[in-house]
Amino acid sequence: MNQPILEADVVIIGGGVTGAAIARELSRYQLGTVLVEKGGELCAGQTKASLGNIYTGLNLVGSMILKSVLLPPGTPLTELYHPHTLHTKWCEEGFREWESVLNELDIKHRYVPLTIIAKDENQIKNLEKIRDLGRQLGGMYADFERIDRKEILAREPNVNPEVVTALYASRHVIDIFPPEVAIALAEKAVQNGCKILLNTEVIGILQNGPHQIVQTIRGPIRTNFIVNAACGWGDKVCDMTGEGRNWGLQYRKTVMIILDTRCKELVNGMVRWPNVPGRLDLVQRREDNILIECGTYDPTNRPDDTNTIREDVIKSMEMAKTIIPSISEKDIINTFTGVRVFNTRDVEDHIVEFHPSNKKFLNVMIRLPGIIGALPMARHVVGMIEEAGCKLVKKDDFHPYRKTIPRFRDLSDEVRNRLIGNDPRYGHVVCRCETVTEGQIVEAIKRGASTEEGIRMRTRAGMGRCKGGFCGPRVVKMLARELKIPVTEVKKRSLDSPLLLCRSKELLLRNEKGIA
Amino acid sequence: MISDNIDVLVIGSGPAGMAAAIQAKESGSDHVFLVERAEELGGLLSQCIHNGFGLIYFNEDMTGPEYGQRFVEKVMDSKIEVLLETMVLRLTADRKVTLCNRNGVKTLSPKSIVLAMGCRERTRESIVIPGYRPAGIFTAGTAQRLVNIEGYLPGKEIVILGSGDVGMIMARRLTLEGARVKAVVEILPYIGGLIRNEVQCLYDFKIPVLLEHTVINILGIQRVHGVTVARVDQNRNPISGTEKSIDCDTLLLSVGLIPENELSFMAGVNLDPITGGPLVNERMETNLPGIFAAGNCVHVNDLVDNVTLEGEKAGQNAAEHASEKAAPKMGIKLVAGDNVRYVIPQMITGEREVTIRLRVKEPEKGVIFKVGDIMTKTLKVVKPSEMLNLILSETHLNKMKKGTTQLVVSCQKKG
Repeated sequence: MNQPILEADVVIIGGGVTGAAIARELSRYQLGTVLVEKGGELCAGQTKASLGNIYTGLNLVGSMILKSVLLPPGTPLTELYHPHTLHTKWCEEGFREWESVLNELDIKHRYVPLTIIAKDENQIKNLEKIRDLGRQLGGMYADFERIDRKEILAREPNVNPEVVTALYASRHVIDIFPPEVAIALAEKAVQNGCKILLNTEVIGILQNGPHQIVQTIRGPIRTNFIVNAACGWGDKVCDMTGEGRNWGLQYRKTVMIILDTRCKELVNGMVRWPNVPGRLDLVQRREDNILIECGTYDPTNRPDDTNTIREDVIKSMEMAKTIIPSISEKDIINTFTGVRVFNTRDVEDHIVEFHPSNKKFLNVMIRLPGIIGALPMARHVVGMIEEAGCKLVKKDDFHPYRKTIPRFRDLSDEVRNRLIGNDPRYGHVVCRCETVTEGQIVEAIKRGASTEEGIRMRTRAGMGRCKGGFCGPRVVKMLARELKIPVTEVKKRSLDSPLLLCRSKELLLRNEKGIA
Repeated sequence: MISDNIDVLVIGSGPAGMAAAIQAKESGSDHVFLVERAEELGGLLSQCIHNGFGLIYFNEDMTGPEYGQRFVEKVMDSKIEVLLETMVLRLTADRKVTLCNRNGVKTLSPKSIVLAMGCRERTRESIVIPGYRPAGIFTAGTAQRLVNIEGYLPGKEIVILGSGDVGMIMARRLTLEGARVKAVVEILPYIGGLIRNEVQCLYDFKIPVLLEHTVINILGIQRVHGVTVARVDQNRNPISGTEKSIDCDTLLLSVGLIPENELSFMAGVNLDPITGGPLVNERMETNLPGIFAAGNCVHVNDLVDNVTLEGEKAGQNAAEHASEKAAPKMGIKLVAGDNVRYVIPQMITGEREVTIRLRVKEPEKGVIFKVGDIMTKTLKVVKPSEMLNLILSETHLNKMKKGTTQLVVSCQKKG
């Protein structure tokens, strides 16, 4: 066997929010932690294309109500609430905890109001179910008010004027950008000693005496423990131990639409119809854009089936207009498809368990919502590893705090001038749509961005309406310059996504030499 | 640092902006500033290395860089203050403009402003082409920059969606570079750009054209490895059963240009929903006094020469405004009628000769243009891709009835 390229106490497989949160938690201890990700950047899968709000209260009550259709008529509503599942526990604990951690990690976030609107009898009935269950559960679930049409239009003036009533909660949704959360967690892990290997697909897992060998396309890694946080690919990774488990993974895809910042005033927070089984219908402010997720969870057979279907976009826009009639196709600046992974062994809950025949191989199969519960989940996972015999010694020098890359767009001119005074590259605006400077791009590369998508997720460069038309070639050049690689080596994301295929004249020279 | 005694500040140094700055200077403004976000003057001209520029303005056939250079030299000679790699972050209705560059952020209060931000390209996202999101999808203009300025080819086997001028020019350019352009796919039954580009860029190079077709899927998760195209019906919907796949590593888009008006929008400039640009009067002034606009940020032009002329007009009037000369009253509205998509300017005085520019909605043969009942003009053929100029002379304007507040510009089939 080849010599290991790395030795570790724990190898985490998968660089989404789950893997990143576990990495950060493990980096509190004197352990060698390695995170491997097969994509060219972190958040290559679900985390990147998720609605990703941190939410509680009415939204959770809404999803509980969904299940009521499966129960016999007359079942008390409180039967829908399962306080002892990991899912419920982590949602409740996570929501309370996130705000302080978001501040600790300097992650941009904002509480946005949630308005669940209703216009017809059926919707009002659904709305009242949500209200009743929320009140019965009490606490954060009951922290809402019922408002009438006049109040709705005062708070969300662009909502469909046919609405008659709504439930309104001012602090049930925290708007975040999901990749920023995962990247911030990962940055912290790295700063505290964790190693992250990108473009490192796992191809096998072997036992080697007391150790395990994680075979990757870049070479073997010898480790004590393995955490399988590969989500949609988790069943395949689990199979590599030689003994698979019956996960029965199901993949469901939904399309999301982003509208130009010009329309940001259309909604102040999240506005949605009451939940109906199999659908999600909401329009919300995501930072300074509008995000639309209106549609069904359509089954697909691959976790990477992010193929956007035109009809889905059309239907989604039609539904969005029933919420906010003035929404227009003209303002679409992006559409993308996210795949959600569900296991059919325990549909309602996350599954976090050691492999029955390998007590050092921990499967972490998270269902949505994943981000909200990520912090308690990570502690739970670390606790399980400790119980399984891993000795945990806290580091004295753990660094909890992170400073974000300066968000030039959000700063006052005074602060901007201070930044530029220290580093003139902050005065060079490269992305016009999102006002991103060269200083930010260089800093993102320093922190680990190595692809166009890595820059985009960390700085927003290229996320605006022109989709990198102006900044794209400049970002590619900066990546090449800072990473000291040829421009033709710059990737969009993974190794097989090159952006520019060759130099000008290269094809002609080749043809001249008679090489096809 | 920059002093704040500015007569005219021009945003954007493409052909409109350079012409505006030069003209403002020549019209007597002492302090003229030209602000450019890129590394050099000229806007997109420097990447347009093909010919066909200057036929009207200089009566010469020039390349983009040659055309641009004439103006760059004039800018340099005429003591215009040039600020490169400088972004305008904010603009207000009372002409406070906030600039940002490596020296810092500063807010200035010029007496006049000319908006000359040009246009941007429509993207794959904005027209919602379904499929995966691999590397290898570029707008034609970005590809043009990559090939002609940066020196890189985006791909080797190319499909181009849309037959706008930049798309056709890039079909030829990439063919000359040794790449294979496998198809130009156009949803309409006719080519979108100029006839001369259709002939010189597509037919002369035997590039396959698929009219009434569109791309209905992009294949490849990480890098494009093909597209699926299909024929469309009269409502531009794909006809099932006509799908076919084309192997390629790159998809270029030439599906339209959008005037760039984020700053105008921010300041409160009224925009025309059809052109996407500011509503302007015959002085190229917007609804905000002292804020003028010219070139592709007002409406997308087909010829650079017209852009230059518009820039000059805006620059001259911006200089007049800066010298506090009273503005004439714009009392007459120009309105687009039958088969006319838009008319620029939208407001005129009716007191002096004015050139109006317009585009038709549909191609037509044997047409007669009418401007109210004061002017007619017949043309053999009109196409949406070709902008038309109509000159309303004082003789025409004198025919106008007293109290006229609106003139409808229409294009009807003769007979």
